[in-house]
Amino acid sequence: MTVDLDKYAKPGKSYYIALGLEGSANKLGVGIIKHKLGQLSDSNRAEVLANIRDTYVSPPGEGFLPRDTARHHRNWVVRLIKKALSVAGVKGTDLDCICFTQGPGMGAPLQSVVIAARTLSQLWNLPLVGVNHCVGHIEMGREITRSENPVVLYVSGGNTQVIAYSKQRYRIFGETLDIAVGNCLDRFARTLRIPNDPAPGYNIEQMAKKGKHYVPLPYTVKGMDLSMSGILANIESLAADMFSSKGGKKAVDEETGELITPEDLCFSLQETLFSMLVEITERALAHVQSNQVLIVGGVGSNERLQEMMGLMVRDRKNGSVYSTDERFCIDNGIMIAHAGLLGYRMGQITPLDNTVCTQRFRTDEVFVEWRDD
Amino acid sequence: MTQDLVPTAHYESPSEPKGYDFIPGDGPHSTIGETTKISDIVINAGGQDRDTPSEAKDTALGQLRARLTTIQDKINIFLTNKMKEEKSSKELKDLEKKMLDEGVDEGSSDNE
Repeated sequence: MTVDLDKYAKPGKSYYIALGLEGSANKLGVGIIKHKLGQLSDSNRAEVLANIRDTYVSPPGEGFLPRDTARHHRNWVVRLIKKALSVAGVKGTDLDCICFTQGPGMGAPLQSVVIAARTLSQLWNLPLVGVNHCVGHIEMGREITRSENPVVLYVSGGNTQVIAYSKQRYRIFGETLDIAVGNCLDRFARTLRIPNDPAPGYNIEQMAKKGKHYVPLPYTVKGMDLSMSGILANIESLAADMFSSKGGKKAVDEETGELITPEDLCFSLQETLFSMLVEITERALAHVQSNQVLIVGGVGSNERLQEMMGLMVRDRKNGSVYSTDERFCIDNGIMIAHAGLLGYRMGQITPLDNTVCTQRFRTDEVFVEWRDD
Repeated sequence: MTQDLVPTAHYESPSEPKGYDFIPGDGPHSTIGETTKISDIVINAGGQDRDTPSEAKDTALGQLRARLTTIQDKINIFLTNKMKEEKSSKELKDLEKKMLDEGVDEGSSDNE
């Protein structure tokens, strides 16, 4: 039996349109998606009508503060919504629902964006749908790549999880015990004062391509989980020695005796962190007897991670790695619109007094009613 | 002629049941608030503010935006002062408690 996704379709209408608002971290995203009636399939794909994003960028050496990030979202949200509606060629009254990120994420930015969602809902008399940010990533990744039942590696600035679907929940198989992989990379970028534009992780990736020497770092896989704060502390102390004006002990490559460069450190950090991610993903594949990996989240746009995952999967029978480009990988509004619309089609709507955002909202709390495989 | 849209705000708490009312006043009003600027930390680190709000249009809704910014400033300043007062009164009470509990510190640490 398949799930009936059209119990709540408006009479006489052959499609749904939803607007999604994302603002759980430093990206503000507005997306508009269209689903035709019936199951989503290779011949009935979700249609992206608009996917607009604006990123709050902080100066080199600085992270993004909740207060300024929230201010960015507040001051841009109306302009972005207007632009998205104009790109999509739809009016507010054409929409079926307003979807918003309810969590997890940073409190102040989440709260700024939900106010926009509530206002639109009352202005146009439309229902609200609160969306789990992680489920947004998973559903959009599945839709774009058409991967059926993959093990999902969700890697971003705030989250690191290995997830597999079972019985209408996205279950977490392994996760970080402390900081997220993107946070580890971003903070190291701050130590090296690498610019935050377009993204610190992207700039580390470019530097890592020029690295020649591998510096051994702690390798901290704990069963199915990972720990990355110790690796960060270790590499930060190496970087501090490198830039020390006191002429302290500078790291050299053990084989060649050449001085270790910032590029070498970026390379070594990436190789270590990504090996750990590949290891726990491989173990999850074995557990659930799957051969598909879907990488989502901002760090998922890193081509070296995709390559390393590809090497692992190649050794598995019929194995495949799915990933999306930065439009869908990095936080965006369209994934919130898509996941929210799936929930809406099953009758999941969020009453106004339940729209309070939450910084902690685990992936496995969501009832994935729209799947029954 | 369209009616001006004037927002108001009211604050009350158990200790201040009479409360306070906030009105935007005569202005001039603008969407650039005193208390909603970018953090000094960002500017001092060499950052630029590219997230300023758009200017208020000369329409009823545009003027409402500007008046709201003024009223928001007034509320922010009021609440910040309240927090400061609470903090300093708590510090005074803590000091009083400390003196009553432990006696006046004579500044001698070599009792042993």
